Amino acid sequence: MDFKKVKGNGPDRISLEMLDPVMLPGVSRTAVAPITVSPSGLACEAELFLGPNDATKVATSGRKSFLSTGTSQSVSLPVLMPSTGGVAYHVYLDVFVTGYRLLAYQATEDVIIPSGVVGPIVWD
Amino acid sequence: MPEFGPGTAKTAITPITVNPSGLSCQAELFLGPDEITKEATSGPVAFISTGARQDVRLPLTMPSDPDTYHAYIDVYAEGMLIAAYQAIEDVVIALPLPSALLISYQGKLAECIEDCRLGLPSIMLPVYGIQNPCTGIGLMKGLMVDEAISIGMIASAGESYFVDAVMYFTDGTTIVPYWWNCPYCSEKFRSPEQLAQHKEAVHADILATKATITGAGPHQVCVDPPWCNEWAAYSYLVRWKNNSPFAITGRVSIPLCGSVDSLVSPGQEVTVYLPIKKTGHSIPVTLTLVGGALPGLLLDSKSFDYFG
Repeated sequence: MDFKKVKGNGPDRISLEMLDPVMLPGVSRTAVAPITVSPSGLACEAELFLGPNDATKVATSGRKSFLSTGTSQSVSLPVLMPSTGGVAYHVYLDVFVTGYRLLAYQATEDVIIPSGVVGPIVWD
Repeated sequence: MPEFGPGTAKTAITPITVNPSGLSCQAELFLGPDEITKEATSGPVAFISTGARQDVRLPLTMPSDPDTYHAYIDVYAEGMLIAAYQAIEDVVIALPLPSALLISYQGKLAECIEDCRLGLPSIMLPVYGIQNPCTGIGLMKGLMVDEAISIGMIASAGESYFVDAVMYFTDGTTIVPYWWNCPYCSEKFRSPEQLAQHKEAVHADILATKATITGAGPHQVCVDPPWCNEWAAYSYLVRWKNNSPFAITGRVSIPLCGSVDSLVSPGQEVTVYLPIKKTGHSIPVTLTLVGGALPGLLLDSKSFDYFG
């Protein structure tokens, strides 16, 4: 799963590998995002969230703190998937530095939470 | 509560809605006492979700054992189980019930067989059917098969035969009159175990080695006559007598003409002379006791000279 940058002054694009874009509702998954913030030594936070738009957070990792190193860091962002299935959710990643949002990314692929409904059987 | 015959092939048309569209999905319908034990299953049937209702066809061969089974449906999307359902109604697997007409045929058949047992010269019993020139029943097999097809008990005639009043079909269908007693245990045919025992025995007798059966005796076998016409036909029954391995009675009956009893031993060839009524002639029939393993023994016709 690739991310495209929505706003911010960070790298042009952050590539985030996600092996399973289809998730079961309510399951807990952890996204490992390689994030590079320069210079080193800055108090940073990252938040991964799912929703129909970047203003509506249906599921979120919350802000996860890390200290910048000036190089790529794998930041773990655990998310409890939405309980409502049958929806493809957009995936957003925000990076904050000293409380200010520095980067805002949206994944190029959505996370799919499938749903299934079975009706009455007719025997043939 | 849906009820089907043992081993019948059915297809469940299942409306399934999976969202979003474009997902690689599978659905599986299975029957069993619980969701772990799959007595019958459609196996995974693949489809692509459309985001709307889809009628997915799930073919299933019903279990062979009469019983009541829960029905389950699992739906997978991208290999993940997203829906697990249990049907509100169970599926009942039951032996097919004969119609009143079929029962009446079987009743006539049973009467004829009983006449034969009593030595009354009024029956011809080929392996694949029954004909009774005295009572005008005619080819009972055709009537019974036609009726069985008409009421949906079997799809086609195929190969079928009768032993006693039990109809056997190569597709596994067995039709048993409810009043009929098992020749082994003398109980009514009510349980699959009784039926299986009986069926195993006659299959071994007629279809396999003509010599050995594994069930417990006594039993009887009716053999197809090589020839008959409107005034003469014959059949013979083989049965144990007093549970003695060397005492077997071969009874040959000539309709309208009488019957002859003969004691034979395993491997022994015996010729019996059957008088033809009003003609003064006798028909020599050479019978050979084939096989000899216990307790199943079968007489085989070796020659039949009508005018000897």
